[in-house]
Amino acid sequence: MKNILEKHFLSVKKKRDAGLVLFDNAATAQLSDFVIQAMVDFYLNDNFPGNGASYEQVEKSVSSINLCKRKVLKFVGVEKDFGVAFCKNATEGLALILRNFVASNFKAGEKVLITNLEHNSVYKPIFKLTSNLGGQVDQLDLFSLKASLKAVENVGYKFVCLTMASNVLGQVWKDNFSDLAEVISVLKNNYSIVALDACQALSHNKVDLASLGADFLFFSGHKFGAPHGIGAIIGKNHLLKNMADFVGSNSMSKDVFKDSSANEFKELEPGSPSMAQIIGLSAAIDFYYKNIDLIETGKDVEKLADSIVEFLKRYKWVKILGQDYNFKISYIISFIPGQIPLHDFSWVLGQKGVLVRSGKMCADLACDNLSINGCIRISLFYYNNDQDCQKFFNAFEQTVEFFKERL
Amino acid sequence: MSYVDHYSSKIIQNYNCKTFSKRLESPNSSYAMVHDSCSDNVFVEVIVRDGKLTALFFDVQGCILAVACANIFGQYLIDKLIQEILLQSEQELIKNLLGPEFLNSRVGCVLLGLRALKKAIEQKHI
Repeated sequence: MKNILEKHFLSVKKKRDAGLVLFDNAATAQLSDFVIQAMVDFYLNDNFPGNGASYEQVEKSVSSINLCKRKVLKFVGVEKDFGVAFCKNATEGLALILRNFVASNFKAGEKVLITNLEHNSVYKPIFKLTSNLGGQVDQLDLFSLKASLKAVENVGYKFVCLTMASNVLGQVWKDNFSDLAEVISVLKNNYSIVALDACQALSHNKVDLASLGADFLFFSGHKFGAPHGIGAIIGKNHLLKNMADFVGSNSMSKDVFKDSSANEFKELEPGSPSMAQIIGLSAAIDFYYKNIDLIETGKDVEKLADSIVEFLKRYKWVKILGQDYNFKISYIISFIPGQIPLHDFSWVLGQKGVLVRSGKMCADLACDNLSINGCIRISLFYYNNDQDCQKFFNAFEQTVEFFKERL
Repeated sequence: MSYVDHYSSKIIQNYNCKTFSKRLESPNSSYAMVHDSCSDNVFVEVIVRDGKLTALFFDVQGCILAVACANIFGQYLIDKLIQEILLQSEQELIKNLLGPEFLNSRVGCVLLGLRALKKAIEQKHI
């Protein structure tokens, strides 16, 4: 499986040939050759508007948009009753949901629920908006899920947003999201609108939105091998139909295309469609279906993660995050390198070609709840291999020696 | 510039021995700043009397370079006239106090404390 994947990532090969180890994939994953070629082909042959005109090439663009939407639906495990609206990224997608389900008709004193491990893109807008409206944000404590769920089950939340995977800890739900489904089921008893942040989950897990029972799921393409600038909200049709966009600008496509090829939920996508990004997203999903068996490749990634964890355990002063809470460490390995300042540690690693992330991971809430000021994060993708790990081990040892001599 | 130069003995010494680590009792002004690319942050308090920077507090939550350079710039600028401080060019300060090689790498880290200090002075004394 590994060889097949490596063969399809010239973008990775070029960086590897330049001596780099790509360990910051949770922030931006590299694009496969399929995705890059699809976008090049689009610009060479099909760079026409995605709406607003009546000629054959525009019809083709609209068909491409709709095809991509069908692929997205299938990719997250829903075929009917759900629709897709494209957005720039997950942050924008959530903002659109919040505008419609929190900002409007919110009564002072109402409550919103998030997990205690949310990314700033979720936590900050929800906290700010809810506070401004006189409401309250509660946290579902994933460190003690059963007790926490018991405490919130009868509250009746106006809106619920749950991360499917933490960008600090990786997997935080068990058994292919069975516990998440149970949480959603309990919260839906009180008719809460439930949205899932799938940014970190989508590339490493088979997602079945239909069985999870949530109303919305949103993601950013660049986290799983699609280009920057494209994300999507997948939502129940009856909810999407009644949503307003940010600027109330665009119903034009409905007037022009009265046939069934019209781009559904275009009203939520003001302005010209980001055609190249949509083509890239479409190709990224195709690449998954053709080349990635999530279970098999997931095992390969877990083996790499295990070897990294075993290596780090040799250093007693290194704190590996997540183990205290029995979370399975897989595609994300976060740690604190003792007293060595985080950004200096990652800088020196970077100078040795190993690119990791350092700091709070844009997850201040999660860091507060973990009682840390930040961490070093290794995030793996399917193209990582044993050689990458070995280079990291060497660079880590050298970095430790470097700071031992100075601090 | 090699990364090794970022961790010269001067830098490490100023990281380990911070001169301006005591909170001020009655600061004239304060300012908090975040480094966009890495989220390192600094909080600075100042006392300006008779047009001079007479007392300073830095709390830099960040890398060795950001902490050390705030200390180095602080030591150079304390007791100077605020007009003189505000007119100091960043490039000249870096060249004179750290060396020209620091102009080409991690400038955001190097200048985090200095920029916050200038903002603290500007917002109350301009």
